[in-house]
Amino acid sequence: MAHVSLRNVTRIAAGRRIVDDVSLEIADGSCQALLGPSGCGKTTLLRLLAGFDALDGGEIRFDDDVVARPGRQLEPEDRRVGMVFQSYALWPHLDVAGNVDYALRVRKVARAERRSRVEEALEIVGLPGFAERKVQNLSGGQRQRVALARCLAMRPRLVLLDEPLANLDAHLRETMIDAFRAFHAASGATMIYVTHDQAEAMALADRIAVMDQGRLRQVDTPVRLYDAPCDAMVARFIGQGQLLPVEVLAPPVSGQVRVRLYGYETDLRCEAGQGGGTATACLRPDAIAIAGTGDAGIAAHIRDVRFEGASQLVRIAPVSAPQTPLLLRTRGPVPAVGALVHVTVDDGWILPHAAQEAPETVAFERAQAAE
Amino acid sequence: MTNDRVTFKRAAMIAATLGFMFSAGSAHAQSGDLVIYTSTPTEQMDELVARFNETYPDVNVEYFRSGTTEVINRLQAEFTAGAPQPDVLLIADTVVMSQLKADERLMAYADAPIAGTDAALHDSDMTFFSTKLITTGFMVNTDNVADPVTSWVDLADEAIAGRLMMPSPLYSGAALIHVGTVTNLDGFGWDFYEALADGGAVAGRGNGGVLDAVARGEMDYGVIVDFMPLNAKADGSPVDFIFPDEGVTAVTEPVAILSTANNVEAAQAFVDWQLSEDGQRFHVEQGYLPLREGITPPDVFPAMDAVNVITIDPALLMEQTEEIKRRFADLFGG
Amino acid sequence: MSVAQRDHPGALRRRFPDMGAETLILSALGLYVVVLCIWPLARLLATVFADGAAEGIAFIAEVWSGRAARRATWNTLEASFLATIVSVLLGAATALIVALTDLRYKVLLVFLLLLPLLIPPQISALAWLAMIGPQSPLWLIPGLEAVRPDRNPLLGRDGIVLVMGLEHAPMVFLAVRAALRSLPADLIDAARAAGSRPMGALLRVILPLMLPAMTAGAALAFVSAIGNFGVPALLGIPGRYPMLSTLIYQRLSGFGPGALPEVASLALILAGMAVIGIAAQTLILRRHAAAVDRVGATHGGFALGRWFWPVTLAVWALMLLIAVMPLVSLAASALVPSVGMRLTWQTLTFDNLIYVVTGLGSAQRAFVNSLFLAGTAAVITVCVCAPLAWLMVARRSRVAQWLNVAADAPYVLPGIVLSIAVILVLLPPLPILGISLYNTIWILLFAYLARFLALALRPVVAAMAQIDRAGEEAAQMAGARPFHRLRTIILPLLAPALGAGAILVFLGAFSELTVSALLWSRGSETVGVVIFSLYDEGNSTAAAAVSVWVLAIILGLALAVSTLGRRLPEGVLPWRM
Repeated sequence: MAHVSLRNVTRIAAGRRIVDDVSLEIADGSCQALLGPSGCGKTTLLRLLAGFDALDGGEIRFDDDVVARPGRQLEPEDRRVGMVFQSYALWPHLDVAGNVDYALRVRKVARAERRSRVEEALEIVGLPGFAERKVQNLSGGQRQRVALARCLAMRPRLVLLDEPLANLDAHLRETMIDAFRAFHAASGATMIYVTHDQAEAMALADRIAVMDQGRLRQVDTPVRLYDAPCDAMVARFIGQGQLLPVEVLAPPVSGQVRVRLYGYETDLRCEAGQGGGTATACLRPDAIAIAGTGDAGIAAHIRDVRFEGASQLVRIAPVSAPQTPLLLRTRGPVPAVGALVHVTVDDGWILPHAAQEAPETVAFERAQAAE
Repeated sequence: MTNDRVTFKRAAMIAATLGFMFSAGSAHAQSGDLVIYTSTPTEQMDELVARFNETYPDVNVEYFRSGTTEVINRLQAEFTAGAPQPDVLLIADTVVMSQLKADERLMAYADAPIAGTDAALHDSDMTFFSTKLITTGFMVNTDNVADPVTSWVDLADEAIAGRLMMPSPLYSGAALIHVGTVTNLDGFGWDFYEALADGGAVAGRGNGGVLDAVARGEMDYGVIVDFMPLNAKADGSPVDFIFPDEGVTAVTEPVAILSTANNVEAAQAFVDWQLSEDGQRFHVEQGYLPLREGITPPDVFPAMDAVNVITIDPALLMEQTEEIKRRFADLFGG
Repeated sequence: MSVAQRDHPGALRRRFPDMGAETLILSALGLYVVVLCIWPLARLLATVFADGAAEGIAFIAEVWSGRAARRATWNTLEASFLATIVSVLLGAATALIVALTDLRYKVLLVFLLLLPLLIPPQISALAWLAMIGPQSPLWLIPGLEAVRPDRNPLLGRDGIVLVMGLEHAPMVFLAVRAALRSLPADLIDAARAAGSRPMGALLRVILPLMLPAMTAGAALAFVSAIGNFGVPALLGIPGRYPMLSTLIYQRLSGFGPGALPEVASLALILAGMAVIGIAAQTLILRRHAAAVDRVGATHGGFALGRWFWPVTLAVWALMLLIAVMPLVSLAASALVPSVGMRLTWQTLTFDNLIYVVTGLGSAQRAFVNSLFLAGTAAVITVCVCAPLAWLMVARRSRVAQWLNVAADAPYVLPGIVLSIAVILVLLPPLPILGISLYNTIWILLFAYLARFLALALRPVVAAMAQIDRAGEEAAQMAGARPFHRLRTIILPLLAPALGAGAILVFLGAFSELTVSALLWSRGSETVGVVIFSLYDEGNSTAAAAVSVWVLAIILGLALAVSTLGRRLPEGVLPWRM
């Protein structure tokens, strides 16, 4: 239960700024995800919070106590922070109980209380009666839970998780997400969670911080990240966003503005103060639909269809711009490949102005076109 | 160790006082620790100590045994560090003793009982004394060779040199004397050794290795000290020892007292015993040739008056020591 | 009042990271290594430069350019290199066969393979000499009489290469087998799925992956070969093949301590070669030492099919020849009354064996002394290795890594050089205690501790590199300080390697010869010295008899440890699968 505050945190290694001037406030008891592609610095940031690496600039505080500053550092042993490692890092020479109560032994907690806390922790993570088991005999999911139980028993004020679901299969992931929720509820600790998988982040976190190349891009709730990404990187990273140049036709009215793309006019969301002229729109596949016969829309040919179970992901090539295909998701029947259809855009978001000048926009479009 | 030194220093003083109070003949009063550095083989050293203690039961003998040169190395290291340990040295050859004498490391024992032995074998200044006669000839493997040669020159034969093994003067005192003597001998010199080298003769380390190689049949001939193959032959090994026609070289296993000796009384007693009849008879039992007249040599030896012992001036050898070692090493794989 | 202040009142006041415990451990270890490994050798070097730096360097140059030194250097490089090739071929081939095929009785096979680790080098050389010599029972086998050589072919370069190669093959074997164990089965299966036959999978997938392990094993074998003394002494000196170790020994023996400066200069050459070898090993390990998940499935092995019997026969015949026959020949030479006699029912006698343990005081003392020294050295060394390896690997301490390099020096240099150095520093009385350790058994212990530190460090450091770093970090997060982590997490995980290190040190120290040769005195004889002395005195039957007893003790201990081995964790006993 700690409020975590990062101010201008920077870490430099091998001449590169791996974490670049990151400032973040994490509310007491919340679950914060650090999301981003590999190499973006999220794991380093986690290790700075844990105390394994020293920062070169800025400050980290837990509840107003300075925990790290350049040249000053509170050791991991003293931070009362729990960590769930990607490899689980269970100790093979100790059994499950030995792993879970290790921190309690360090603090010289009496045996009776240790045993009860171990059992309590194992109950919460769904492994009752596993205390005597050997670590080697456990499956991946069970080890994950033991790692969680180890954290629980410690009663930490902050829990750090490093890509905890990365090594699990899809079904197990579902179970584990529930386990995490139960864990969060039971411990009441602040949780900070590193992942490259947005679905994971969105399922668990109260807020998500998107990082790229050491810098924070956007810190927001999952909904807002999805609906209103602040720049091209976030837009593309979350929810298969597609970036297209559009022409703004009129000033915004209560958050919406009329635009034209590929000769088709529709209303998209935008921020207040959106000016006219060209802009970049972020369109999600779910917001594009195949129009009924006879309805107006962007003319396009169907390139291929991917079955996704509940829906289908269709790649189309607009007639007016066959080099830049679009993805759309639909539940209804899909015409054959090669057929000509009309598609409508039901929703979208105009990237804010500042992002529009960003050169990454162009690069991302080109990259998308190459797909 | 310091405590021990104090203890037997005191003991030595008491012994000396007692010895002075009682007349000569109270040799049995010697006591305390006696440290000997020697190149005598271990088994024999154990027997020697036991026999010595029959006459001098109160002397506690401790010894360090290794090849002559290793013993001297150790001693030199101790000199360098300023704390030499032994009271008595009992090593193979007089050349090393001469060197130590020249370095003023030895203590003279003017009253040593050398009567009955050839004075020429002992140091003129009574700093070291020979104890026995060990000759160097050559041995042969009787399983491999039916009709062995009998002279040194024959060894240089190509057919034979390739099956010959020798001890090296870098490890063995006896070998040093031997090579030194032969290279200074008319008709031999370094040419002889070069011929051996060309013929493929091989040099090992000490005499023990020669005995091993020849007895096991790997080599047919081996230059070696007398008692080793003769004793082995008595035990059943297929070997024989040849006293060559030209003669043999000899080492006398001198004993000396160090100038830094702690227990001088016991050291002198040891020298006395080595030269005494009892000591000399003991050497015979061990298979060596005695120095003292009137003591019968071991059975395995032939009549010694027929054997020609070639001697050399130790001072000359002392000068040439370094050169001998280096040239030998160069010839035989240094 | 914040949570942190309540729980850890001192925490907020902490200014600098807590290096207290680590620094303490590091200082203690540093003192240990400096006193044991650096101080004696530095003192020895000082004798070279006693006359000043310029003279010293000129002197070194003169020695290095001398004919004897050049020849010995070339021979050392040549023989060591060739011996390393033999070791790698034999070690790697047998590791592959043992790990990848369905041969039977593997435990016995591995044990025979690892025998050279147990047998002291000079006993090996003696045994081989006995086996190839004319008296060998080998020639009793019908048909072989025709190939019986006149002169022992082992004398000289070829013999040295063969015996040293066999002696160091276990090092390569252990390295490659460890690597094979951690090779995931998927890689091999993937190759076979791609259409590769087992042989092809071997050549294209397994061997390239084994290259780091083979190179590391080769580096180890090379460094051991250049410092080897026992084999070149017995096979090289009479074989007219001088190597640096025997040249040093010969110079010291022949010319006394006056040759110390020359000897020190020669030792520098050896040191240089060793440094290159170790640097190569470190480089390779660093690039390839990933923390491997050991719980992954390892490959079950290929079925040999129609190759089963040919391979089995070939392998066992080889084992018989290189592991069993030499020992049999050695025993045969102990059972005859006098050297050179052929062993027959009439000549058979147990007198020698009985004599050396009942009648030979020096041998009796030697057994007791060697057991004591080897055991003590093993325990102390292992206690030092654990924290040192931890500091080196887990804490990435630069100082600890330099200490590791320093520890290699006394192991690589010829034992005789080390013993001279030890004499120089320990002959005068110790500074505070005022007593001299010279002529006591403690000077031997000192020298053994210096010599064998590197030997135990290697498996322990390798094991430390295998431990997942996250394991220790997790312990840190749980609040455990350095000492506590060492005790509860690191030590248990290192325990197998520590056990292996202790066993290696014990075996190395038990019948050690070259260091002990100048340091022993009456009362502190060691087994190796007694064997060597008896041989030198011409009493080779007694030497062989003592060797037989040594082998019996070592093999007995190995057997005892092996039966207990079922309770020991995996990896302690090198020969257990």
